[in-house]
Amino acid sequence: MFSNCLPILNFCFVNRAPDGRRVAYPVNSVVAMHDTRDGTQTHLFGHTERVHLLCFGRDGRVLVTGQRGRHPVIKVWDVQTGQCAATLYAHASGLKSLDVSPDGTAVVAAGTDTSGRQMIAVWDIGAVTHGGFAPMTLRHRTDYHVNCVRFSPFEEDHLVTCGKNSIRTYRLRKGQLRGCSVDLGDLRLSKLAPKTTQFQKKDEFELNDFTVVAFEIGYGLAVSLFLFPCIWAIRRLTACFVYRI
Amino acid sequence: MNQKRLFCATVTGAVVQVNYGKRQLERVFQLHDGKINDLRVAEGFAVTASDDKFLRVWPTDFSDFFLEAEHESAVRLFLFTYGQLD
Repeated sequence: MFSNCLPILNFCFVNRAPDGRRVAYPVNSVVAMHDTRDGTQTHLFGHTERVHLLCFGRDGRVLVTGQRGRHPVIKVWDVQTGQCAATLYAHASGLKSLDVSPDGTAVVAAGTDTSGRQMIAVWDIGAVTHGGFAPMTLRHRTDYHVNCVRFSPFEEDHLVTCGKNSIRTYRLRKGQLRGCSVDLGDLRLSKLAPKTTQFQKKDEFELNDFTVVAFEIGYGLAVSLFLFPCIWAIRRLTACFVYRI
Repeated sequence: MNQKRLFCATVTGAVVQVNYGKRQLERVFQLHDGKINDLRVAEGFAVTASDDKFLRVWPTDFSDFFLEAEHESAVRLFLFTYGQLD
């Protein structure tokens, strides 16, 4: 079955639902959702630009997708029906990262506003799978750069962001985000990097630029020795590989 | 909460370990020779994918990698799945 779908996965950004059945990947502005058990495919139409962000809710009921370009929309899809359950919109451009909360009731997205400032937006999607609306809970502008935003699996209603020279935790309370920076001290990562390191831009070298956040307790997936962890790796431009570890 | 750890990958190929409760930097590990594009931590192991073409699997103390795979170009992202491939 997987040999059938591997060539399609070439397009990049695969995301697997936690129930382990579905693979979603974007093909330009269309999102294809592939059921690995029965081999059926659903195509999700509605985006107007290339889709570059995908995130399944942890129970696998919703899929959240985000697009590139100006005035990006975020779409919440009901995985069972393949229907668009909600369209979320807050940013002017530069959608960088999105995440679904561990309980599946909130979506957070980071991007920039019309004046180019970093903006974090949170929506309540608790009602969308039974036909409800997805109201925006808050919009927070910040001077701290954001590359990646994640809900904290350790505390409810907490976010963690990372970007240029900043790792921050936020607490979501009463429609507001209260941020707290991680003390980086006099960290100079460029001093630690080996001489052979290749950088695309000079300024990347000078800043402590954080790209991804990860938490020690994975994604709350129950892992046992009877399950076989596999890694799907996507290489730039073309190929997807699967490793058994 | 002070036992909880989070990890941030950087463009210089390092991963920093942060104490979540204290919001303090604990350790810095230099793991790759290029930008780290993706990092995930599961129970007992961590995986990094980098512009230096390597995908590496580490213990969570990042002492030495368990295994690595070299690709022909930069590794952009990866995912875990659990269970046999069917």
